[in-house]
Amino acid sequence: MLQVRELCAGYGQLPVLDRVDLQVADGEVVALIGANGAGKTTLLRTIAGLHPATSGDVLLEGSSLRGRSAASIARRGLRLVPSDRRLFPELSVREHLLLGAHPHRVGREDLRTVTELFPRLAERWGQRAGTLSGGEQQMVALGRALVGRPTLLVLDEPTTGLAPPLAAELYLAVERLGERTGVTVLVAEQQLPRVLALADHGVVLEHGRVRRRGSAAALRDDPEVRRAYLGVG
Amino acid sequence: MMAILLDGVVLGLQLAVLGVGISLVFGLSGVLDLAYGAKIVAAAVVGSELLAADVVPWMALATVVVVAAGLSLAVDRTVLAPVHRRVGEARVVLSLLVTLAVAFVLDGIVVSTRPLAALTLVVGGAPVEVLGVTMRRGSLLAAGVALAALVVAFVLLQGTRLGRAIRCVIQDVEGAQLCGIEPGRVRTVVVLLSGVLAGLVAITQGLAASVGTADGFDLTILAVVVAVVGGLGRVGGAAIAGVILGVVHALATATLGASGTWVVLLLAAVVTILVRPEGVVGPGGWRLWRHRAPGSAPSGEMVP
Repeated sequence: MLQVRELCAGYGQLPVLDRVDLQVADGEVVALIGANGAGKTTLLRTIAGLHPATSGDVLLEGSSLRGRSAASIARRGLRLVPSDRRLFPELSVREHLLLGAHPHRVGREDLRTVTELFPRLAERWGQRAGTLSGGEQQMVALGRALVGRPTLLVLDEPTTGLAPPLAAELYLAVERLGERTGVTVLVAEQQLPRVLALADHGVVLEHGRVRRRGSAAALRDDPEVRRAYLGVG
Repeated sequence: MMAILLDGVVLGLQLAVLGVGISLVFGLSGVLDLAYGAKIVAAAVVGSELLAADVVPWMALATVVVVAAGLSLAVDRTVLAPVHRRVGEARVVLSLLVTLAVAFVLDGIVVSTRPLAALTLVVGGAPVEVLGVTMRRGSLLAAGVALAALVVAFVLLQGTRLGRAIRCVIQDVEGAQLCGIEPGRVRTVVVLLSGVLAGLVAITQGLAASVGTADGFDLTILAVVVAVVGGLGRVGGAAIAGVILGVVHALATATLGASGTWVVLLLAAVVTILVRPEGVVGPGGWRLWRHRAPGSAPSGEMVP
């Protein structure tokens, strides 16, 4: 599904990503783990075309994404939900969801899927996004990405700023979504236990380089990972 | 009094089109187009020349709209291209300087080549009585054209996928990209739409009174005042502010004269920035109705 090959990116003279390799197979949930400043957001933004790569390549279903605009990458089915959500404060929940499949029409079935996953959105249907709570905004951001039937859903720290019950609700929704649609997910997260409970595989990023990779279970049991990210072991 | 009010509404509808035209581009790209009035005048002068050359009126007026839209796109693609590559304050300041320069260039070309040209569209037939006030058919037609332009602009922006895409880019470029919307294409559409509205302002002004070579800066100042009172970049606010300011303009002209009217209008813009920077309508001024979620009961709730 997704192949990231020797990807390098940075800001001006400051390199952030250093030859990052990453694979996400069809239907898999892959966790991208790393501390603040490890390069997770830069990696996801570069994959989604929002940040330019200095070298390397990103392939989605075998086709290179280099040189493609972020909008074109989104239309190809790679949908990023950034940590700051990038909602439109003056557009309603309904309008956000109708945008998800741009330039195509959103099917009623897709809208129903989202409102079943997040019943709260049906209650806030006509409300402006700028007036929603943080958790509700995150649901809108996820819903907007889902109605376009993405081939790859990329989530950047989806639980940032959310209370633990809401974060748990959100992860449950992603899990149900995976069971229901089989969508492939790449999710960056600092909350190790939660994301490794959901993921099939994980990749640990440190200072812009891949330090570890393996099955979620192996990473959960890895003493170095536990020490670095759980403070135990 | 009723005559003044009706004159104000007729002018207000034209100001609304003017304000929507300049607000669309500012809202989308942060470019406050100080050449907006000069483009209207340039298109009007082309129209007056075509009419003087006995070109069929509808074709001459269509050309006015095409010239205004073409000028808008040409300016956007050439001299404004470096402006769009800047961000924040640099973009705003640079856009003011560049569009001001464009205004001087267009003004210079028009004044030096056709100094006395003016677009005046005479509509035949006897005056019509409206609410006890006798009104020229030209004024009523100008109001009708302006109202139709506003309705079409609203339906386009509110009820179509293209309109939704435009509003998305206005609010968050990166968010729009994440939805698969190409901001560059949206900008082209918006610049053309703004140009079409400039052409329609030339026509409505020609119907209601006349557009001459000296009117460019007055039109630009009016457009900026309407845009500010509407809440810079808020298209719905600009439409409502235009109508309000049209009535204010008519009342002030009748009581204070031309200079006093300018003071009142500029004061309205200053007070708006100080007291209500989000504009007369505020952030909720866009949507007029609320939709239901699939499967949910109708709420019947209206958005304020």
